[in-house]
Amino acid sequence: MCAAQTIEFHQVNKRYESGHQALSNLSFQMHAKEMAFLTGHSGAGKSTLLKLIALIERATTGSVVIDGQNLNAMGRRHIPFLRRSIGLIFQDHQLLHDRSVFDNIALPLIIAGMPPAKISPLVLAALEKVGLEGRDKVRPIMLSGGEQQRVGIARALVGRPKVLLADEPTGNLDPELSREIMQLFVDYHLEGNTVLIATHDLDLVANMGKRVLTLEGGNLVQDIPAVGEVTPIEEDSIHTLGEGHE
Amino acid sequence: MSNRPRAGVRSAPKKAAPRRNTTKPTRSGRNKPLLKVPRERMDTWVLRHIQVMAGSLGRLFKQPVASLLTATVIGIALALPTSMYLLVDNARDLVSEWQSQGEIWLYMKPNVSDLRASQIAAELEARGDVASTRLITREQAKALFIEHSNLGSAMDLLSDNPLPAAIVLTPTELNPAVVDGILWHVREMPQVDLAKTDREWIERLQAIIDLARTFVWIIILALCFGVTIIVGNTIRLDIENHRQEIIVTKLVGGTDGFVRRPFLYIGYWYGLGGGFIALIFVGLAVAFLQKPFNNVLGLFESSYQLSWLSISDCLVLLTSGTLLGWIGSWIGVSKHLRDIEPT
Ligand SMILES: Nc1ncnc2c1ncn2[C@@H]1O[C@H](COP(=O)(O)OP(=O)(O)OP(=O)(O)O)[C@@H](O)[C@H]1O
Ligand SMILES: [Mg+2]
Repeated sequence: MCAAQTIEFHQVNKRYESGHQALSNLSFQMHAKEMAFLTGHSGAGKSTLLKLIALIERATTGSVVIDGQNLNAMGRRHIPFLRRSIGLIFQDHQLLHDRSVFDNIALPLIIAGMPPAKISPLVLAALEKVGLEGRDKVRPIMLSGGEQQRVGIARALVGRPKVLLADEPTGNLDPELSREIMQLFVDYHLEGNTVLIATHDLDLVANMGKRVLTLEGGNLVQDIPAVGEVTPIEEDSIHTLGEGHE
Repeated sequence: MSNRPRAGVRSAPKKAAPRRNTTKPTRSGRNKPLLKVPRERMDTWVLRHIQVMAGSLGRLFKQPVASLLTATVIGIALALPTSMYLLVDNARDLVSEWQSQGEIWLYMKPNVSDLRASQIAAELEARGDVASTRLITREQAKALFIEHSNLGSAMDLLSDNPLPAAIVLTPTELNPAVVDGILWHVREMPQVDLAKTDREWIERLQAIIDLARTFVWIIILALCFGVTIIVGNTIRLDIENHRQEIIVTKLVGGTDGFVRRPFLYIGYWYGLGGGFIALIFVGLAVAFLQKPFNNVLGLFESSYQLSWLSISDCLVLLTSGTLLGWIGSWIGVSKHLRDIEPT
């Protein structure tokens, strides 16, 4: 428990305006530089959980705390700065189709006010990391679904955020490419960053040996610690597989 | 260029070191917090603004017809009050020109001879507030009367010339105090029968023009309001068309200011374009009106010419157009940007 907590959920409930209860009494923590997977059936609430961290949605009750900052208390004006500290990879890519791949990836850096001379090498390096070197001038619309996905990943990584959240980042990728991208996330985690990845791909997750949080109908039903690591969890009604929890 | 960030970061410890020669710490000390660090950011900031400015202009040119239509509507809304203003302004100039002919007529008592009248004229001309005098002898008065009335033949029936001599007096200044001073003086003179100016008439005319001016200002305000609404509404549609861009920008940490910027520049261009179109409209109106207007004035024996907008008037028009475009887009953006949030 010595490491600082980067992501904390305290009895979080999320009820959408439609009345749908997407998350129920959810509590968990991730310490700094930890890597975890978030799994669960479609509709289990994975995307909702990630959206709460980036303040795309707000918790109905309970509190989400990021780097010691309670998001409930965070005003509208501060949200952009929270999002700049988080790299977000979206299930639906969220790319700008009237701009080049380069411009899409450069967007977070431009927003942060980085001088153009510094932007270009970073963007090209990020493109190379996701295996899209040489595609910087095309429009995302001319790329396959998997390639667009990787543009989104490059955009999330280019600013080197301390926290990386990925929502189904390998959804459109073939198994081999999926493994490569996953390895990319592991490397990023090993560089000292917090990484949380929502995914359906249970096989892939099982091979990684990282902490796995499982959602079911908005409840956290399982919290498997990483192989060889001790993961502290809340002593709530979560039954845990694997050894080593307190 | 390359030493800027370094100097910014490291100047503080450098400054603390006492061994450094005297010029360097002073320079870095003076430049450190104010110039060095932010300059690179400033350069970037300026560059981004220019890019957004150019980008939004490019966006307008992508839909030239729609953009031109909007700018034309704004142009008409600006041209209307501008021409009215121009008209009233011309009327005001015209009246003050008439006033500059604003002479004081002194009619002598009938028993005052031409010679005596000319002496009086000379005395008056010696006054500091009198620019010039002109004597109208009794004979000249008779000639004028015959020329300007149909009663010339009636005059012939009279054996004696009944008309007095007159002195036409031009004050050095046209301000009412000076004119009043002269009037007060000449009315005291025993030889003067009647002293008259056309001032009352001019004042009445001026009051009407002032009223018209107030009216024009009300119209200007109303149409300014209209222009902001036009721009605001156009921006609202534009925002709707760029929904995805706004959402993505917000998702990766774009502030409201950043998201707002391109729309503000669009409003800016609309306003500036509308201003130019208004100038063209006003120019055309003046060109068409000039001839008939001058013909009418010619009938009044006035040498006055209908004037175009002055350079500063043009600048004011363009600036206010731009400002209104900016304000309109600001209102439109603030109202509608909040509604677009990622979900
Ligand atoms: N904006 C919304 N308004 C109302 N209900 C929503 C909204 N977003 C999600 N939901 C509901 O909340 C539940 C959880 O949705 P969420 O997107 O978090 O699921 P998920 O685990 O990411 O699913 P998937 O794996 O299919 O992406 C779903 O039942 C969904 O219908
Ligand atoms: Mg989802």
